[in-house]
Amino acid sequence: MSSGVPRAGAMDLATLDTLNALLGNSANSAAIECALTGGEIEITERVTFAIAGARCSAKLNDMEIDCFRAYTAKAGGVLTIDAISSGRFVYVAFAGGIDVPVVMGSRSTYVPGGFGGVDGRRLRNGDVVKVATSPRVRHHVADPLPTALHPKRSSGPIRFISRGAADELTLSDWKLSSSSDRTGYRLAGQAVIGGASITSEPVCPGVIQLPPGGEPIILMSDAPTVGGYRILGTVISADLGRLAQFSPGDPVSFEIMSVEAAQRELVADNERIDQIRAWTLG
Amino acid sequence: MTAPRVSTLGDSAVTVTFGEGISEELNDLVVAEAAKISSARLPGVLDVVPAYASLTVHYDPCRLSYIDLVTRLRAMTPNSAERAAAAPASHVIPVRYDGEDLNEVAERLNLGATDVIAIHTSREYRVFVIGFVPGFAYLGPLDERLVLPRRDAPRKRVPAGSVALAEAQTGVYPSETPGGWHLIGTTDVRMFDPGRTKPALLSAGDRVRFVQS
Repeated sequence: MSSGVPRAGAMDLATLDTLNALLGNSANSAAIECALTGGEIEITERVTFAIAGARCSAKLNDMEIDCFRAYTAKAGGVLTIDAISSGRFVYVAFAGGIDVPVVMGSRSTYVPGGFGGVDGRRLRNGDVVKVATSPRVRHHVADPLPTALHPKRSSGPIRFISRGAADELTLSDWKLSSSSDRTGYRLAGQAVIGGASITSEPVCPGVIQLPPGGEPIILMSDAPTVGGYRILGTVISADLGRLAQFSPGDPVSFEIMSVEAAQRELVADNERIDQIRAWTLG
Repeated sequence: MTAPRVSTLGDSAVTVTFGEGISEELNDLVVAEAAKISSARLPGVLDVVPAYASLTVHYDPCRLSYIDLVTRLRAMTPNSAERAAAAPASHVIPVRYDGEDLNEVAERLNLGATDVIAIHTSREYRVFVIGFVPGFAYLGPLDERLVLPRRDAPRKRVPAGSVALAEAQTGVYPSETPGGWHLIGTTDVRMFDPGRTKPALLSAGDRVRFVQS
């Protein structure tokens, strides 16, 4: 980040981490992130895959498929993800991970910078995407992942660590604005006083800014690494994936959390991933 | 001197603030402290990002707790003797002064275009911060005679390699992006290349000189 390159990467990292663990992939294996719309993927070589994220109807050939479950598709198979009905991002992960070059230590695509992933851009019709060979032949557990091992998604307020001026956020009713994308999610509601420009400071995904206009912005995966607006606080890492799945118009509320409690959530989530890896071996 | 202030930036980063505003002395301190923290190689620290008057330490909370990190940072009190330790890297950037806004800038400043070029190339600038887009360096301080507010209407596309100025700063756009600064020239130097071992040419604290090519 000190060279100005944002974190980029999956908007709902907890879901991608879960899929990678389920498929026996290393933690930094790449997958496909589908935003808002579905698509069709033609399988040209036998591969094991799993999907998860936003609610959608998905089929392998004519068979309805579940989230968080490994399936093996033969050459000629077609994976179809129909329109997403609730949420924003669906992840399609493959055993072995997507085979794209590692750039600056990552396989993520950074679209605003035009590098990483497949030519630094979104996938287009006709693109051919390679899957790396799995390092060892695994018998993938075909059962659905137990719900207890799914990412924890409460329906309560988004928790954040406050920088001292929390009332503006916690006492207002917000809706997610339609001007929300991988760079930042804007909150629509009562414009808040106290917005300001500041001497730029480093920022990261989850940082909640209050610009002079009065409508807060939550920085997301592709946000620049330095920001010049007053910072109200930062969404806890464990809630970023849940927040990413909000759709424009959804109500958003906030609750303060201590940094210690937020870190305990992350440690607990790490343990969940370890448990998934153990489950796949059992 | 006043002790730096440590504040949380969520559960995976802390910001250390050394003062307010833009000053070379403050930035020297930030750059030196960032280097000190980086070279300490604390397990769990992922990245150290310097800015004008503050720096942020990004870390993995599963390996290093907030309390542990803050304790270690507080133990590294700034030491003015260490500030002058490493000589900053110097760069020379050749520029074709053919920018779309050069004549307009000269006119608004009551100068000839050659004067603008002479003033722009006459001093060594320092890199205050890298950010906003990969490899973009905020250079300053710009000579008072060249100070102009940003353009009223930013351009949707500024060509990669554009040398520009606005307010008290100057810089080079590493890639084609929207931009609101005045374009006075072009350089072929690749300011950012993700394939290089060190992708961004410049780092905070470096010194830069422009020469007319």
